[in-house]
Amino acid sequence: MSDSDAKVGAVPSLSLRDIRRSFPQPDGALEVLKGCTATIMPGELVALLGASGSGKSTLLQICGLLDNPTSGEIDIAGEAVARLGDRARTGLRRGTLGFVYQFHHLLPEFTALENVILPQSVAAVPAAQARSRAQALLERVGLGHRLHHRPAKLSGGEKQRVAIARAIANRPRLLLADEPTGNLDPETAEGVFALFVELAQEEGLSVLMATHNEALAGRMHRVLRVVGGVLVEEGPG
Amino acid sequence: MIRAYERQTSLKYLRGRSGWFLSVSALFSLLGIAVGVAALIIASAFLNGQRDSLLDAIQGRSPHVTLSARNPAAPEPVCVAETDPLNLALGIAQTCTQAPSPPKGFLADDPRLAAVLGLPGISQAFFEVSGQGMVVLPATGAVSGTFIRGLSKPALAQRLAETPLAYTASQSRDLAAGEVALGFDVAANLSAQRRVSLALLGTQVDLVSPDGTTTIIGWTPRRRDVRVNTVFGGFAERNETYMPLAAAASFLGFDPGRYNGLQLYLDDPDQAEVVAARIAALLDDEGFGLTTWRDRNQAFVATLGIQRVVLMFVLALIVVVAAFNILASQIMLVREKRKGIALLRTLGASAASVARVFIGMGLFLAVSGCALGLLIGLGVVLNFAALVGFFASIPALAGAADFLGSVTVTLSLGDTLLALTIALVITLLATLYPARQAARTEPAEVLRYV
Repeated sequence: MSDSDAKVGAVPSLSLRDIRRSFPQPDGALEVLKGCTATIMPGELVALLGASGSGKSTLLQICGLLDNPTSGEIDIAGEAVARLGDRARTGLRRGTLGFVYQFHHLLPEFTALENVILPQSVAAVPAAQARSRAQALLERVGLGHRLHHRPAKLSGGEKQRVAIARAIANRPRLLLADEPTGNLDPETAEGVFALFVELAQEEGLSVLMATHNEALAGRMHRVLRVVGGVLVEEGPG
Repeated sequence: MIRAYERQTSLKYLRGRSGWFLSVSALFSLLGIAVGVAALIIASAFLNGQRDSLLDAIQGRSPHVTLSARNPAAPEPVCVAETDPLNLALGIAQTCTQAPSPPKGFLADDPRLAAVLGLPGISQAFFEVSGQGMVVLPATGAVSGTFIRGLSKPALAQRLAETPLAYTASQSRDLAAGEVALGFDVAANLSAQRRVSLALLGTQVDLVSPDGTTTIIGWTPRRRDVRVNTVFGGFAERNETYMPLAAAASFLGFDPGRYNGLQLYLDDPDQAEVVAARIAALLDDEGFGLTTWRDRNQAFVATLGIQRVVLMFVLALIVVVAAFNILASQIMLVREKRKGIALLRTLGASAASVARVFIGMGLFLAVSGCALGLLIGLGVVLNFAALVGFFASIPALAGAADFLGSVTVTLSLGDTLLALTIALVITLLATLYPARQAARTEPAEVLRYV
């Protein structure tokens, strides 16, 4: 049985239907997203391209339940989130979603190991198990020797690798990445991207990654481009 | 319930990036609470000591329950129509005769009093006579109202022997037949400067009783020349004049063997109201009145209570100031940590969980500050004598040590718990606003622009 056969009938990791988002402005509402529709199946790596200000980050925030669309429907792992309360949305963020940002956003008071343990602690994973998984993930991203270093002592690439390890620590179904290599030099960006893709595939995650890097986007399974507030499918890379 | 990661985050935020045990602002917040709690504990111990000393002085010298006979009402005059023609001619229509007043006071062997004296909890009992009077200093004509008490020798010793505030003209505080002891207020009233003067000791004064006698020239007050042997201080008794019992009974017009007061000293002075109620039930007679030491010193006891509440309130303001410090530093911290808070929210921490991080910080500061304050407070109170000794060894502080040496401190568990509760509650209240602000942080807003 092929991968595509397995996906037939599978529950999509993310389903967006006619998502619209506008922001009130003094001279009327500014509509950034004008009806975005897309589906991401389990294990799919999808790149999200678009010019600066086109609404990529807004769309990612909506997918990550950090923002609400003005209209439209979202299903995450088969669950319609439109009518979910704050508690249930928080629960979905905790267990089903992972985030990686352009700026690592590690907690500066915590060591690399503690940063990766933290989401597991939030999800009430037993301490020993969380520590063991965090240690394994950091070793997997090549930072086994930097476990007890704080972010201030790590390089940009190392910080982003810790952020990736943190994002997948709770084994999410969907990983949302907002230009994870955008702040890195090309060589480091290549290494981090490769690691990112490898880990996503090892863990069986779906990925929606906003990027400006057309070359990296071309190496994903699919490319979606935000054009004029709507998503345009550009086909496999 | 604060979860492990919330506690861990609280502690990380308290430490700051320095990695020290506490950041400087957290350390000062903690010290502020500790100082407030220690001040509350030490001040309450001082106040308790002062209150206990004063109450001991009151309870030690003045009777705990006093049973007094009310003066019998004078009988109505008996009038008969005048029959003498001469009197009638002079316009006198009736002749009235005043029946003799019943004797004042009660007999010592009254069986009802025997029943009173048989009640449990009474350690000593003294009969006394008392009445209103005046003291006149003939040399200057100064006059003071007073309450004259005739006391037996042991009763007099009970009141005067132990008090440090009594000054005598002779070697003894016993009073001979022609001698009196004047309270400070009476002595001050006789002085031109309205101050107690020891120059009064040994001088002759006139005692005047309103229980006069009717003579052919009309009613005249009773007067007696006496010598001032002692002046004494105290509380409610400062306006009293003490005399030997027999001399006072004669002066105040009591028949031999009759008294108008029974002073009772109890094993436990705090049971005065209970014993008084038992006596009232036993006597069931409106001819007797009962007062306790608390009744006689009501204003004084109330003042002590008010002083205590005011001082505790003022000292609690130290904790309030410390709490404001926590409030201000946590508001700043919430602003500084907006990104971290947003991150916690994206990692799945609920708004309540974020609030608990900040409440946890307040709780840590409150508990640690209270613990440190408790240690300091208990250390000072329990080692007060040693501290005074240490101060005494430093020449510059010897004067202060002399003063402190006369101060009593009494630790109260209730007050200590109250101080801790006040500090905990105020500190936790101070964390609620920043915790709420943190919980309301919108991650999308924060992360959109960073």
